[in-house]
Amino acid sequence: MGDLSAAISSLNRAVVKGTSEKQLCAGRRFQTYLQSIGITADPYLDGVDRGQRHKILCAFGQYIRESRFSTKPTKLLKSESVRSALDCVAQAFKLAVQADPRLDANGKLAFILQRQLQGYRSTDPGEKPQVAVTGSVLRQFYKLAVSPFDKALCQLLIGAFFFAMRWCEYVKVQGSRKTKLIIVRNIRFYQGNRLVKHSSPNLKYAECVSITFELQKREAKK
Amino acid sequence: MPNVCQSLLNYKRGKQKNDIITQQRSGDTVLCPVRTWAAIVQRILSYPGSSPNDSVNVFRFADGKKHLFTGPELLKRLRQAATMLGEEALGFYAKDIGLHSARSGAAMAMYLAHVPVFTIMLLGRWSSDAFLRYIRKQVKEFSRGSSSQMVQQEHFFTVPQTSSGDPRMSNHPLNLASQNNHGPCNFKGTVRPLASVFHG
Repeated sequence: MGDLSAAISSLNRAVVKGTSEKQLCAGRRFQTYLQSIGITADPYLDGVDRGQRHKILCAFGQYIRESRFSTKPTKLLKSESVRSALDCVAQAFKLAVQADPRLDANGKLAFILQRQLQGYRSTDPGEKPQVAVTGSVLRQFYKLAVSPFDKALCQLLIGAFFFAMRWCEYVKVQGSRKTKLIIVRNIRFYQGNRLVKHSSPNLKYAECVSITFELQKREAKK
Repeated sequence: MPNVCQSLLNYKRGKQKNDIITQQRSGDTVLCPVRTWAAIVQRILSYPGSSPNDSVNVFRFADGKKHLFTGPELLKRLRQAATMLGEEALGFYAKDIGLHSARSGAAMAMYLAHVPVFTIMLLGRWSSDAFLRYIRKQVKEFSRGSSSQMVQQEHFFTVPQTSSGDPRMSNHPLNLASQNNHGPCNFKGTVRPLASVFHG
């Protein structure tokens, strides 16, 4: 029993609070949807066959796409959001030691779900990537920064630029993240092979700066 | 080009732990990683009650009030700077800048400086080719020199396929040393009968 409690405790630590909340939210929406179509006592769809399960997931996908769970459904959600909601539902099933409802007999994403998501992708508006900031913008930022507050903010951005940092690594973000903010002790300076103390007046003349990123997200391969 | 040293102390699926990235001095008085981080560290440690465990976004006002820098504060000022430079000089509007623009800008700057792709990946801690999403091919300088390089080697010779009539070649029906001639036939191509080799 103790082993099981420890295992459950580890399981809860596997993801950050934000991820758990997202999964719970998707699970709640799925249950609400099931109730809306008259399935009230079968949360894991044990009473329906695989094909029907896929059809229910397709319909749920459409419900998410149209954001009908919202009190003010305004725009169509992107295919990524639908995919993410379906993934969360599948995770809820798996956490309850149930089979992944999205999969077909070959263990692949059901063909009708694949096609549905593909259809959504083809009608989704194109992604507008953020532009790449140039060195000249950073220099201009530095020129404009007069107050100590602005100067400090500018230094932070310049410092982050050289390490291609994710913004959650150097500024405060909402919610808990897997990636941790850099702290002062993560930053070390070296002159040759010798560590330069933070209190050294020659810190800015060090040869190099080294930053330890303690825990970070790994970006998914697209 | 700065020397970059990377050390992956621990690598796990889904996350990386204790990834150490080093940058050397750039030689610039403003845009230098060493000078900048030295200023940040010394400013934070100058605050009363500060410790090495303080995050890098800490700021204290003159009255001692603690503040943690946020993304929107940073973005607002960054956009102001871009507005001052103007859309004509940059080719984009200030509103197109986002918080990922610094990371994208770093990838772009390294790419344009001909930093090897694997160095960009290691320095930016991209474990896959995901960083290519940050490279903006619409940047004018992106293809600098490509067209002139493309015409440098105007002619190239395509080495023809080897003839299958040479019995010294592997898998030739007369090559008994070739393992693939034994047992069930696993040739991928068409196999002619043994006699046909003598009759073209």
